[in-house]
Amino acid sequence: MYKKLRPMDLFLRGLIWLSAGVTILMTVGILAYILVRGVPSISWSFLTTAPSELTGTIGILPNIINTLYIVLITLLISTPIGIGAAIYLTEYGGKSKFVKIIEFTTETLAGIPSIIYGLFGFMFFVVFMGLQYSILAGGLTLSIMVLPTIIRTTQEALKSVNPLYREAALGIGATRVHMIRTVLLPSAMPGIITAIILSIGRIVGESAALIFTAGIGVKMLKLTPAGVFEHLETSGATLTVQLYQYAMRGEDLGVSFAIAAVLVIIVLLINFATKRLARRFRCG
Amino acid sequence: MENIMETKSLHLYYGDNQALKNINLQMRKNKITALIGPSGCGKSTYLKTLNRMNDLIEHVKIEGQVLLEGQDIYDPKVDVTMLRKRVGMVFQKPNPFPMSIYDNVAYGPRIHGIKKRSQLDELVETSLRGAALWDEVKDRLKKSAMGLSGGQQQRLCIARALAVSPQVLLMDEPTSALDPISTMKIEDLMVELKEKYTVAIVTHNMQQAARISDYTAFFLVGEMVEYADTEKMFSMPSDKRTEDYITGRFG
Repeated sequence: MYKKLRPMDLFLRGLIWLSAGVTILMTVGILAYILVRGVPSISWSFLTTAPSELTGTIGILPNIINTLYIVLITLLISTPIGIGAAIYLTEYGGKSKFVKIIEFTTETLAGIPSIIYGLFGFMFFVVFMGLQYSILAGGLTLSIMVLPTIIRTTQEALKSVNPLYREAALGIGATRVHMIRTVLLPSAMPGIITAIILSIGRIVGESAALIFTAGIGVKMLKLTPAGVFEHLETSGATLTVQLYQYAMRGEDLGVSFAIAAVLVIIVLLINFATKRLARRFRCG
Repeated sequence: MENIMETKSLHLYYGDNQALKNINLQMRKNKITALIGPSGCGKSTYLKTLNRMNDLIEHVKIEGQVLLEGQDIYDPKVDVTMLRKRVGMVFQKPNPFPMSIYDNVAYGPRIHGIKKRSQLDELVETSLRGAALWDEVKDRLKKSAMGLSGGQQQRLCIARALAVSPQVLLMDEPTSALDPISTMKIEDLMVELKEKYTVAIVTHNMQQAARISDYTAFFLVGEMVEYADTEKMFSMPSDKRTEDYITGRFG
């Protein structure tokens, strides 16, 4: 009846606590280190100007804009295609060999190093299609890169929707398309949003695939109706690409850390915003 | 007595496996027909042929005819959406959509093109009243249907089915997932519903069949063994197998 010491239990529990502790410490440690080293170098002009050879100042506004551009373009292209493909695979494809092959290839694509997407994007979009180093070429390349993530995550979300809903909708006379639009997609929305969050993370963090496709330009966006679109054709470095360059030169690590801090903050903000959005969709 | 649905020498196969053998059944209008029999006897499968829910399953082959007011529902020209409007279905487990109570009931009418707010409001109210749920939910129509109890959810599903004004209501063990009090409410409701609709119910509960149905069909391994007046079926079944089943000797 008295408490007995179970050494194996104690040992395993210790290991579990240790793993959890190490994980939390690493995350918090890295975040804190980046913020502590980076935040002091962030100033208003750093965030709101372009780098200038004349005055010798450094600003990352073009990089922030380029990052947002590439996130937007990539999602605009890959989300509809990815969700459409996932709907086909789960709702129409059945269990055919074709579906199996697509699932296998998307899984393979998800594991390919991003530099390979970069090389492909360079050969295909930059050279063959003549897009040159441009934000558009970068966005197109990244669209291919995140497509597998979106397809697989959306597929899982669709599969986890209660099958009773489908039956109910079809049983009352809904066509399959109507059922997908009104019941399936809304129920799967939290999962789809997760897919988008994961993709944004990959886009924002990408450098290898972008250096060869979007290039390293730091031109400012022209705030005219035409300029907004012309910006797509210009070469543009995202924050991560810019960070990579400063870090490679190794002269001024302060700038690198400042960019890193901005990146971390942007990623946190995006995650927070999408989670809020996902909560709004969740019903029931 | 008028028949609303009629099944003529119906055979159904899942791949090589024959699930229904030569079913002939005439369903009387404004009556409750109960389908009873042990698990796997084909009664649910039969119910689902009546509004073509089996179409969704792969490798199903159907022979014979199912007539709704004399018209073959398996005719290639038949619009399944229209068929399911006329022959509605309530499932074993309550399956409201994860939407508001109002949107659940309005789901069917919206499919069939009703968009006017006032018209929808009226349909939602009459359907919920028809399913004896109105008084319990009238103050929270905009709340999620997932917050209702199991019995309320099932009555909501009935209201959802009623909202498209079907002629026939198919119910696949509608009370098997519910507690006795909710079951009683739904049984009372079914008896009220037959004034306006024709009801076919699959049930495992023989007392339920005896209590509420006018006609009973007994199924056994894909065959319909006996089909008769419920009173006659439960007092003097003509087939030995029926007698064995309803007296609880097997099943």
